[in-house]
Amino acid sequence: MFLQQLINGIAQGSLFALIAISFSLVWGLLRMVNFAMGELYMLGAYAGWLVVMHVTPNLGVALFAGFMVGWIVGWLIEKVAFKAMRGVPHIASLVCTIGFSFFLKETASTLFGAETKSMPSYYSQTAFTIAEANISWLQVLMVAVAIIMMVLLQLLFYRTKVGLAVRAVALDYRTASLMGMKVDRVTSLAFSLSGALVGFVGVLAAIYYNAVNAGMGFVPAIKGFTAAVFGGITSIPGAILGGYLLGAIENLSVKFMSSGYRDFVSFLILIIFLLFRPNGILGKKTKL
Amino acid sequence: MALLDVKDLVVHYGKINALKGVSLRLEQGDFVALIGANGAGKTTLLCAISGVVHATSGTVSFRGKSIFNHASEAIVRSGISHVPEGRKIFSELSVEENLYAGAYIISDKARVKDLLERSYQLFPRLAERRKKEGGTLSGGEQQMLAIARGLMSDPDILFLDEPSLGIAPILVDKIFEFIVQINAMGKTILMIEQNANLALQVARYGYVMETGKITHEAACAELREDDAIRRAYLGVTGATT
Repeated sequence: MFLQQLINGIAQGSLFALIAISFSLVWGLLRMVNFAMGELYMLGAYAGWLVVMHVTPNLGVALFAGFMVGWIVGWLIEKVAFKAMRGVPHIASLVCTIGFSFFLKETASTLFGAETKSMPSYYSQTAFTIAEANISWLQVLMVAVAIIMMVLLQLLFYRTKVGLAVRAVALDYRTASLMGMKVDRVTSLAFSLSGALVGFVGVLAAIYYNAVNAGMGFVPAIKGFTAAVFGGITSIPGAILGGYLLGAIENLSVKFMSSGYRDFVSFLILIIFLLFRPNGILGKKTKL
Repeated sequence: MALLDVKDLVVHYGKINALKGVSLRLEQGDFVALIGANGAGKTTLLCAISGVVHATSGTVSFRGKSIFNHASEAIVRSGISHVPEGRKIFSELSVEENLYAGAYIISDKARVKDLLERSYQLFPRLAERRKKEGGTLSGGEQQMLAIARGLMSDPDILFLDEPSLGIAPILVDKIFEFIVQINAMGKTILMIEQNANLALQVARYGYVMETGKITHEAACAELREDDAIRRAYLGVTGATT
């Protein structure tokens, strides 16, 4: 039982970790939160669902569709909520992302209907069993895909010129522009990438929970944000650690209290960290 | 034709008139010092030329072409590298990554490697610390890194804003030796320096700024002998002349 919950937690933690990375990326570059992150996740899920229902059952194509939809809508949000509002107080951008959140959610429920769509199962057979705990192929796949994504991101940020520019712009955009870096383009790229990541996660989640609906993004986005704060929002390794820890803690809590309290545990962690350790586990102190 | 020709440059910060029509020329290979009290507009002048600050009016031409109010990322591509005040090292990037960031505009990898080697030859101290995070270096090392990073784009003109600021006195001479050496390599230098004595000793030509205007300009040797300049800028610390 304990082991089973831990395994479920790690699988779910992969989703949280990827969402948390997206929050970290946006926070690192803009010192802002994109409140429409959950809706990018939802749109990614719908994109994946449309692909498997109407185009091809190929999971790779579905994941790619989620990635691309997240990229495009993320790019659009950056242009409207951040670039067009540069120079006005930050709160305007934040409110604008909340606006996007509602707009996208309502658009989806108008287009696809309010009812939950069911997503076909993939790889739900048991891959192996350890001490009565079953690990499905899907869980293996989720963890593997998340790790591959993280490694690719790490390579992008630490081994490429674009990655160097993203890190430099995040640290000091004025000085970065003196080096010839195109701050707007770098910011837009990283923002789109964060959208693409959550869109991708949305597809994984749709398969994991076998469900897609317009409101599905709200809770995971807050969980991802919690994971980011938990691990330290300024740090991508922190976001990953936070994601997995949150997944594990949440699922293990079921052992001690009713599963209805599961979300409560995450929010408790969020509040405790915001109050007592706002820099998270791995985060550095930042000047705001 | 001057390498850099600035005419009647005017800058406003809101209602404040920070530059009130400044003209300045740099010839190929020059070493020019810009001195003046705090708030005289020296940093604003460099920033307006390098595109960090938006100018209201005037002209700026580099090799005969206007670069007036171009974006800073475009100006560094045309060949002017601005080493900002306070060094502005990317604190969480390693020394080597800071240098690579400086070479961002150069796509030829072999050339970047050459420039990196040149930086390490010029500043062996940086070679020893290449893997260290920028933020862990001492003030003097950070200044060396800032200058080296500015040189990584292989510019024609290097702007230096207060290279001696916040640096241990024993290192200041060392930094200035490096700057003289860089000028000898053929780089044209425009330098702001609070230590007017030192600036007028190492540079060849000097401009003096006061409240947004250039009040004097002459060869440094001449400025050093000028009574008004001596009283205003060299007086208290003028023991070396």
